[in-house]
Amino acid sequence: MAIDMTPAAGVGSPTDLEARGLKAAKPWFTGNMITALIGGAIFYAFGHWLGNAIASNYSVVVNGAGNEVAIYLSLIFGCLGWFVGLGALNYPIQKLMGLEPSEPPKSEKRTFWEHFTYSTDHKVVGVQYLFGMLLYFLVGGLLALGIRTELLSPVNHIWAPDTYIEIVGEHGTMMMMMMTSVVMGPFGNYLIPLMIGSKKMAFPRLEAVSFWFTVPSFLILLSALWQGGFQSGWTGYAPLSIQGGPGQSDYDVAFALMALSMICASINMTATIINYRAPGMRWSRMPILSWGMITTAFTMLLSVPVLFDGLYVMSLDRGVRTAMLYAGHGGSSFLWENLFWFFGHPEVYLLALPGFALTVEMLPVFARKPIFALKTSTAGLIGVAVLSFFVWQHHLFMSGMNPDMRPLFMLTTELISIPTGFLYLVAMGTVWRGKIRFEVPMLFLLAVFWNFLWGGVTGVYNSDVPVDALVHGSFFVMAHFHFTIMGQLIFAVFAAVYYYTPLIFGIRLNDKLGKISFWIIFIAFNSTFLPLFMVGLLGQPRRVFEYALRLQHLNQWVSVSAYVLGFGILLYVINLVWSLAVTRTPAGPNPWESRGLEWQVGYPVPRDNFEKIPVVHRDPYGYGTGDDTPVADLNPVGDVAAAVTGGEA
Amino acid sequence: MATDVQSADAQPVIDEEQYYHDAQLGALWTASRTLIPVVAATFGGIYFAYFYLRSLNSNGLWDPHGQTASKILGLSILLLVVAGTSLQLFASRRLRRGFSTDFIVGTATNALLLLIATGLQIWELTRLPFPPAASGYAGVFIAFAPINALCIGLSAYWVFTLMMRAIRSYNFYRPEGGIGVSAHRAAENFRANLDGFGAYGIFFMLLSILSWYLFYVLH
Repeated sequence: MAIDMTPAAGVGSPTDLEARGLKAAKPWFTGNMITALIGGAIFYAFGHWLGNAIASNYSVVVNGAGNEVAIYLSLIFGCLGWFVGLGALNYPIQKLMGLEPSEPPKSEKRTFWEHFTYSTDHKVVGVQYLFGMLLYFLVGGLLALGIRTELLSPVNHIWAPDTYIEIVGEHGTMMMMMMTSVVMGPFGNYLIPLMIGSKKMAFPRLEAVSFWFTVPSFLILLSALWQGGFQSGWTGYAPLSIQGGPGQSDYDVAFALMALSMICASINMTATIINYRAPGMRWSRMPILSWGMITTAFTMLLSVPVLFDGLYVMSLDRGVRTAMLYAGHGGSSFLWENLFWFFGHPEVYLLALPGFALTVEMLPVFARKPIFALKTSTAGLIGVAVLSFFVWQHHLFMSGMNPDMRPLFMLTTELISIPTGFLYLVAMGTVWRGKIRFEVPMLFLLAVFWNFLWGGVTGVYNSDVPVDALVHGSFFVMAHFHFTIMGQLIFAVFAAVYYYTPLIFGIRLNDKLGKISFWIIFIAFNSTFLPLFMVGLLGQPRRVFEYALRLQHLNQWVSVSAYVLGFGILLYVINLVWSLAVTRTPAGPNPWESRGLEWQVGYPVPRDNFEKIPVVHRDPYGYGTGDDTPVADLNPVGDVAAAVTGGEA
Repeated sequence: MATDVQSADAQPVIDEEQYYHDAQLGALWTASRTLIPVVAATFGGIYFAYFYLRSLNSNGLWDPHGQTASKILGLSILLLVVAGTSLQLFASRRLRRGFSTDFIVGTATNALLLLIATGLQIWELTRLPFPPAASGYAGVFIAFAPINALCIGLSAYWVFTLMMRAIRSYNFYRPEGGIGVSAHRAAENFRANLDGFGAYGIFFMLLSILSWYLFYVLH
């Protein structure tokens, strides 16, 4: 043989270094957060220098004392350096030398340190995402409390007006941007291979990269706060956005990084679900969370590139002074609105679909009943995903679209309530006459019904042009989407964190604290956002820090409720951290008595998930049917495997 | 999906290596075909901007002077992409007939043509006959050109990695008739990767023709 056919994988192997007695050198040669930060800092400086070298003689720079080219290049190069430091580019460079693709390394035993490295183990990536998303969410939540503190009084101010709008924009972007991965990141990555009976992901490096995009994205977005923020808010409307300062460039780059993260995660998720299902795992037997992930992935793949285009157009207008968003030179600010909302409205469903999938996935476990009309829920997920591409113009009802187009988009928006209704009714039907176990996750799931009812019904009103004309840009709309997104998605995520902690960490959270935190969160959430419907109908606009004096009592009620909500969430997080780090009460195997394949592997989840490739016999929702035969054969013998794999697959 | 199930009394029941090898081939197929709508959506956003601003023609400033970027360079870039991709497809056919050397030469030429196209696209940006804010067309072209250069450059990277794999494994697969016909799993993986590029390459060639028509002919 003329060549070595077994080259190393993308990252250096830690075991090699240990074998050479260089254990102390491991952190510096295996790619981790520290080396990534160093790499990022060096490349950042280089990018800034390059930008100044290229563009310092631009007339706009000379006159305006600002060089957006340098800012963009420093952020882009900084991100490149981040990945160099992380070791993520080793593999693509090895490919340039013609090395064969090899299995990425998996450690024999998971360590705490591994979670700060460029790991390609889907379980490690899932945990990285879990805590990453939790951090991003908590930061976004703190910013929300900053908003509510300001709105305690219409006349006495905590923040200056521009600071207030910075906080609003930062909160909105942090939540809408980072939370797109709050289900696919932790639960999709950790659970999907287990659920479909696979030992691995299709593209583990893409999976790892998808997470490591989120960290610089978060840091860059956060850094906008001390660079003047971005006055245009999370929707980034032009021409305000093309006139903004460096904070707006941070918004551009951070959102674009998140877009790349979503594309990487979606390609991996799609390829895994289509190709890595175990024998017998037909489409009709696939867990509903897998359906949720694949519909979300397809929606992301088609919508996110257009967002990327929009951000790119905005950055060109800001950096090299093209005029695509500026009508005075042949552009149009509506171009941004179209590009942004072509992603932005599907994005709402990128948040909602995984929330529904999680809800329907967990409900039968606690209702001890099969999912009611399983195929209908799948149809609902697909229907929402498809229709989500035909509704974006309803965001332009009030901003100058052709009035003749309004009825069409009103109709398509109303139509989407039908597949959404499928999902809601499937969930209701699943609970109906079930032997409900009121465990903490189930409480959160039941709350999803209540919350989404408010969000969904008001959404139908919002889609009607006459109502939209009245409530557009008001707190009514804001309350609506907080009910649909926080009330549905985040509650489902709270349920899922509680539900899957025994599987992921082998730890049972404290039930008493869990129930207390649930009731505080549920009551305070409704107490915060229900009054905002009234506030909105009474005429209070969003993004304005002064309001009519007559609305002060309602606003004070909302702000105090928001503090209580924050306390409830804090209690939930304390329960999680305390249970994981201090009490560490073992959960035992399968504490919820789930039939899901993911629960059959025991704790800790084996390195390769399954000893052998399992053979799946049925869907995992046969609760209360009297059929206790297992969902899958984890150690299949020949005739069983042959019967399944030789049959319809 | 093929599952190599052996007889009932044999162990292991399912040939795991073959199972995951098949899954990997399927994943390569899925990913390369998924890349097509992703790139289509990326260019679609640019085309949307093109048609939106063109039809809107704000203040008569879509393209007031009928100026375009260099048509000679634009046509050269297109021809390089078309020629390179066509050559690649031909080289891939030769590979499947066992002519690995032909494949390596064809792919190396394609990589070179694509690199030249990338360079020309970047060079064209430095020689525009209009400033960035001159018109709607100017802005959209400046948005299109770097994305196009990036996509052509990444295509060059892709074919280069394929070429290097073919060179590296040349002697290894020679006894079996070359990497294009070998039944070795790594060779199948290579061919799946190459097929993926073939599908993507055809798509990108068509996209390049459309882009050329929009930015240099229709404008």
